[in-house]
Amino acid sequence: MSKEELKQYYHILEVNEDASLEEVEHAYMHLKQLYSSNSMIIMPMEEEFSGEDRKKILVQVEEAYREISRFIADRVPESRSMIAEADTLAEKVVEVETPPPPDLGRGSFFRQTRESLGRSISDLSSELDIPYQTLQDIELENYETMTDAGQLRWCVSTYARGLSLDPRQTADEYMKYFRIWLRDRK
Amino acid sequence: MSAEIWAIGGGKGGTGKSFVTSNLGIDLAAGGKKVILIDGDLGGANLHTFFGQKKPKNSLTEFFEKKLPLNEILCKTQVPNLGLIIGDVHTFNPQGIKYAQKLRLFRHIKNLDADYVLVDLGAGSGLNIIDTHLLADKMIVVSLPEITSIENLYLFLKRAVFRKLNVIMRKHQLKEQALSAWKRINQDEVRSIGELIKQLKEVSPEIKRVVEIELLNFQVYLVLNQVRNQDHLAMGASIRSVIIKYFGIDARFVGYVNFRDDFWKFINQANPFAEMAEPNPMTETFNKISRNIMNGQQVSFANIPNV
Repeated sequence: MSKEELKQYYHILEVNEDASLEEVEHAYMHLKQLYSSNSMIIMPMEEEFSGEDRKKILVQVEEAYREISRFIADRVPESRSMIAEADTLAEKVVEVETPPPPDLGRGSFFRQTRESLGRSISDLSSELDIPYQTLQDIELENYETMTDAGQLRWCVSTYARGLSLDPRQTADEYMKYFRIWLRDRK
Repeated sequence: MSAEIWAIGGGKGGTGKSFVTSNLGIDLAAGGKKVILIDGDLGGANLHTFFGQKKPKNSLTEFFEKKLPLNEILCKTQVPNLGLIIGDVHTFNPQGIKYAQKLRLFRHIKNLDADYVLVDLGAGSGLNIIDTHLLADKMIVVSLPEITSIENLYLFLKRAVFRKLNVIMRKHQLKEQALSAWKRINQDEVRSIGELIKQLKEVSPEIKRVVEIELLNFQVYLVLNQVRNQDHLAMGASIRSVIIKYFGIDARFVGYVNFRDDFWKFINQANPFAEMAEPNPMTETFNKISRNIMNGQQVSFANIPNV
């Protein structure tokens, strides 16, 4: 990837070139949500800003996110330390005795929350318009079925919102475990 | 050194343009800068009310009609380093100002003894307001997190970009070429400004070069007023995004002002800013905004909740 291309990717995600991985992820989520929904912000532009235009933007945003997060993970040591941080966090959870705090990043937490609300997966699947299998994979932490980190984050945060959880915090935590798994697999 | 001009506009009335202008002025002045506020709201000037001033004897009307120098219509405020020039408070036909007169006004503004001159444009997206906005060094727009306000903002920017393209073509004496391009573009029924810019660039390499260079400096700084919750904050980032993606120009979400339900109490005082508690609760808010405008920084995505 050339410098010029990278610059263009940052421009598409609307973040500065010194943006952290966290900021990049939030920008990606924000833009994806904005251009894939019937947002009030776009409504006045609807006539001139067709669904086709929005699709084009979404494809660009997708590509920009993929390339930038790969770039950051390869080049910036901090993102590696973030993964290390997640490691120590996991250790801490083990150390703590009773009662253990709920581990927001775990699939089991999603299942427990869902069950405590008396909801079924199929019920939430139709409400959130996410396939049954995907929600089940999130709960069972079937990471190997999740090839696209951006897509995963999107689904996790939407699922969290469906369960009245803080979508951002929960997704942040879930992605930490996903990254650990990614790293170990390598 | 000549003054840097910031123009504050955005289309809809009642979004708090005068409020934002006053507070930015107060902040810059508190930082030791010499600041002059100009109430460019021709026909609805009220900036002086914010500073507890009565209707002044002389205003921009005298500058245009009697050729009084700006220095003579400049009033003091109770804030050190902060001067004020009133727009029109007498009879005056704002549509009557010619482009040449505006250029003259800006020449005079540039020569004012100040570090910053802040122009409050008032409501609307008429040619007068758009031209004044385009002549400024920094274009600031104020919006509320409400659909009507956002709609007006888009209209305002649409006209601004269109006008800017026109001015560019004229300035570079590409008018003939541009005109034929316009015609072609009209026949093709170009839907969006972004597309229009794209097609214009395809006319000739010369036009492409000119448009690119000129639009590089076309930046909009967005301030969101009366923010009540996290969703509103996210709207700021969304509006910024639509401006970038749709209009093809650079936009920065430089800050927001939280809604205060006791604000009316201050506004209805004879001297609102003097009546506000010390320290003024707006101090920190506007300090951030003015620094962001100066440094080209903006509200980070990391601080904006996903909607």
